[in-house]
Amino acid sequence: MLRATWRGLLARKLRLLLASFSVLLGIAFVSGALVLTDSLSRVFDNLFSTINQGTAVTVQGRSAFGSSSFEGSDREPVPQSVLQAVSKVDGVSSVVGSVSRPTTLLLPNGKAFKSKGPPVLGVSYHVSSPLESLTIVRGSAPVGLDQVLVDANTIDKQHLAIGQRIGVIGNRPKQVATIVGIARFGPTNSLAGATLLAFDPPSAQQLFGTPGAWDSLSVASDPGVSDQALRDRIAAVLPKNDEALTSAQSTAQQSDDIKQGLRFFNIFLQVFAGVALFVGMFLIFNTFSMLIAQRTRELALMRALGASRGQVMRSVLVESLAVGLVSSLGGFAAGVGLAVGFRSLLNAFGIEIPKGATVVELRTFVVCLVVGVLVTVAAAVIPARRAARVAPVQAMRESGPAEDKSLVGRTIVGALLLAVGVLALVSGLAQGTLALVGLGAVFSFLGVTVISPVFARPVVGLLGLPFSQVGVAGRLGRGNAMRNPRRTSTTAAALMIGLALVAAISTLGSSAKKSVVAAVATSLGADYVLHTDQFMPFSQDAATALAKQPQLAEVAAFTQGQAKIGKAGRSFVQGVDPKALATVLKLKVLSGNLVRLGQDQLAVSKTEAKNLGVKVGDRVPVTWARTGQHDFTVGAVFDNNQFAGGYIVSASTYAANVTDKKDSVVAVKAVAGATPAESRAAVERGLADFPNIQIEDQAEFVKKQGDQIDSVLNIITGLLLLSIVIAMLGIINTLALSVVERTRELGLLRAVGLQRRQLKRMIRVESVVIAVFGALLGTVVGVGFGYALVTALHDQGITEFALPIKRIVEVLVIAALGGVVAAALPARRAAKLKVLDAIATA
Amino acid sequence: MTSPTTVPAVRAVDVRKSYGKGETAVTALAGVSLDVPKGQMTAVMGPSGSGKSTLMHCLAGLDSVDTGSIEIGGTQVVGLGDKQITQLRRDRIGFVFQQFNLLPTLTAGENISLPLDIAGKKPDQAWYDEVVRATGLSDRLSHRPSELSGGQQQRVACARALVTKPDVVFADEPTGNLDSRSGAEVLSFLQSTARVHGQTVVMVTHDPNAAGYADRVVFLADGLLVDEMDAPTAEKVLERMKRFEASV
Repeated sequence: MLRATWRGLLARKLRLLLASFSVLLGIAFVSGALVLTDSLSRVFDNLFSTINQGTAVTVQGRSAFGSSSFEGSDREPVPQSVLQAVSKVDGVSSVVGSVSRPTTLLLPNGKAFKSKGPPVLGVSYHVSSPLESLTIVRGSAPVGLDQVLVDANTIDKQHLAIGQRIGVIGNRPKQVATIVGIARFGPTNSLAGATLLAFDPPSAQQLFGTPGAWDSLSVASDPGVSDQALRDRIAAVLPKNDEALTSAQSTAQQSDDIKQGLRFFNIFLQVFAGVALFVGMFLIFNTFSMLIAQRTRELALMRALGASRGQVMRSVLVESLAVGLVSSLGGFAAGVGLAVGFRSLLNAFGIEIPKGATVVELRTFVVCLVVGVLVTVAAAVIPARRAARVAPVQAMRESGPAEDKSLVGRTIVGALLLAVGVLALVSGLAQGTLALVGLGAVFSFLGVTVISPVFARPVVGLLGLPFSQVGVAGRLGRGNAMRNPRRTSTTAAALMIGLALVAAISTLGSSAKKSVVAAVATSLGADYVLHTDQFMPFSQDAATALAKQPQLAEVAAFTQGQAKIGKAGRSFVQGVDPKALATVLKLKVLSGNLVRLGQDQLAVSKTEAKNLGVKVGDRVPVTWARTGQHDFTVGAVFDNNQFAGGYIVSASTYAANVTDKKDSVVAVKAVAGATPAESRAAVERGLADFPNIQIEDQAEFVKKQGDQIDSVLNIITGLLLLSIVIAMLGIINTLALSVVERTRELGLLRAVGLQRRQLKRMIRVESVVIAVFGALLGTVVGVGFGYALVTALHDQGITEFALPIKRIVEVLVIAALGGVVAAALPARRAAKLKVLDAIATA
Repeated sequence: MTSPTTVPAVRAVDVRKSYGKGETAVTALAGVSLDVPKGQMTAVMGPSGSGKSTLMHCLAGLDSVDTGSIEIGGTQVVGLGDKQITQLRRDRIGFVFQQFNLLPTLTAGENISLPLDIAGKKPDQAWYDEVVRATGLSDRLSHRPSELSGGQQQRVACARALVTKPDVVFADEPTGNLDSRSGAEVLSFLQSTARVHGQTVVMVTHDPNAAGYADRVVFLADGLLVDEMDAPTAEKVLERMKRFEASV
């Protein structure tokens, strides 16, 4: 039996090739993502252990929660007095304090440097300290506020040179400094692409940090003193809001921060790999189903000769196992190559990854093999069962498989699957459980696939109608697409999945854009919204300068950070002058007094008040990362407002609890009667020293937000392209197998006078109709998903629903064109058939 | 100037065809010359391997010849490109195969008008009705082939072959897959098209009963035309065939 399987496999290798290619592509994505993240985490592990070489212990402020700024950590700077105390601890050979804060770089042309991801950091440089991780490669160490040392990578990328003058904006307006030196960071040209602007320690404190205090201390030990022992001795002399970490601990912490980002990236890629594999399963399923339908007589003969059902089923499963193995191995190998590609993609985004080996863990190999084989075999189970059910008597029958079985069973099963899917999807969205949402989506797709043959015939018939008006080729193509609704549906379903996801996120995107417009109209009172690229916080001096402009009536500076609020957990909090707030936002206070929001008081949005179950006057525990837990009183409850967010405290309350006192957004209202030109000129004057801040009026703000939404949509759509390509492979495969199956028909058509050109057109029409059917299914399902998403995200600010009409039309047109392309190969093959051979085929 | 009656519907001159090369070459047609007169039903008979199917395929432009010339209604077929030959088949030749004559996705009526649809021509309604009436399937035109009996399917195929008023209809064992009653229906139908409508029909068969319906029978053996018989009957043909087998 096994030998027969093997022979069969070889005989059909070409037909299985496309199907295995689909699994291969999916697995390549899995493998690529794993290899990339493994390689990167190895690189960063190495990087941070190099950086921390020589440092035995690190001292920093305690954060009540979060280990990275990503998680909302915030640490009190370590005062000079603590540095002195630590330096006296027995076993300490040297201590340096360092500063490292986000800042803005102004290039020699006066423009603010816009980073595509890696931060711009203002840091301190300690001359001749063994603990300094920057090494000067050219030039000299910086001295004073007007001398700066720049990392080699930035020098290269921005075409800078020693002697040029650049600006930095940290705590204060623009500081111009001359580049005096070029430095490497540890073993590389930069810290993972970050721009480093180093000043002498007192200047760095003044420009970026806190005069008289350090962001962290690095301690070197005397020989023979263990890191752990030294850490314990140092911890003993520290005040209670500072902590000491061994070098191993801080390496792990720093590395974890980056790995967290990488994990997100990995999950992101794995989701797309999952979608691709899911689509690939449809292809496998369809290919095996068709091959088995074509081999009915052969299988029946085997049964007649005494093969058991189990043997027949096993022979098909062994076949799928072989396909799975081959495609997994291929995918694994292709993925290693893909990882290199992903890496250059990151590089293209300006994220310089330190050089390092490509790490291929055994785990990657095992995951690829297991996933690839499981996916393939699982997809082949139903066809295999169908093969096992072939009765021996069918060997004697003339006709092929019966094509028109009742669809009642399907309708019921499909409806059930769809119901379960929708239920899971909706409840998953309501609870915010992502796994449940994914499961719901999978079930919905399966449900639609199972049920779609029921309406495939009429819909495909309708889609094919325009073609059948044109000529006989169109009419025949339409008929072929309609003749086997199951096959048409499964083929179209593969395309549906990718396009449904595109339609869903496009719906979300267009709704989000419409919501921004609505939010600006209903919630924003300000004439101008000012912020930096990527909303990096900026100096409060900007707001101070703006307030001096007589044409500007109100300047509201918003500071943004995180705090843990009651049972709501980690949340975003804005600090703003409550009086100014009333002017720049159309904020409706429902109860309490927002304007008189005092110390230790909190204003809460309607939704958050409901979530917390609080009203004005109630007390809520609020934990700030730097200052710990305090009880706050709810001072006001306001109606939901996009720009106000969930929680507001007064600017002074914010400043008392947060280290980095920088503004994220400044909203400006001009005086009554000022023309737009006058008010804009006033804002520009106020921001003369802050070229890093963008000036946007309401219309510009709306457009900018829309552009940002679009660019995210484009990236996601681009990644979904993989699954769409796989689905197109599915169409090619279905058509190719149909051509084989219908050889005699094609021969007959040619005999009675159908030209090759017409034959090709016939196959093209079938392909286009199937593709557009898939795209239509996808659009309907996707818009449904999108609607569910928009409804679920109502409280997150997606208040409006908008159909992405343009994108939908694009998708349908692209699907139709894809159909034309997919038909090319099978059509060529069909046209090449020799008429006589085709007729003679028994 | 030749009178129309003297121009044959199909004329083959010294047609040769062999398969394979060198030692293993098999000669299928070893120089066949044949005139098929217009308006007659001609049967091509011969034992299996005699080359009768190959001859029909070559005459109908489905297969190429090594040397020789073939004319259909005065048009030279040998040397035409695929496009012209396809067009010739479409407009001037009708086909009835042994089996698998109809497209399963089309109704009987659509199958009948298929060659016209392919050509983008409107059927001559009177002729179409006439052909359909002759098949006796007027009430089953909207049925799919799978809903028709074997004999009905073959009659639809005959109608399809006739609908373009071709120069010649080629029928390859048209009754090979039918029971004798259905076979007789199909053969009578082909016979009447020749006798009533003056349609030229060339039928390949190994069945003396089928050949008995023809106006003329030509006998093929080992790739050569060895005999012919006008006004055949089943008995006479059977007799002739027996003599063949005795001589081989």
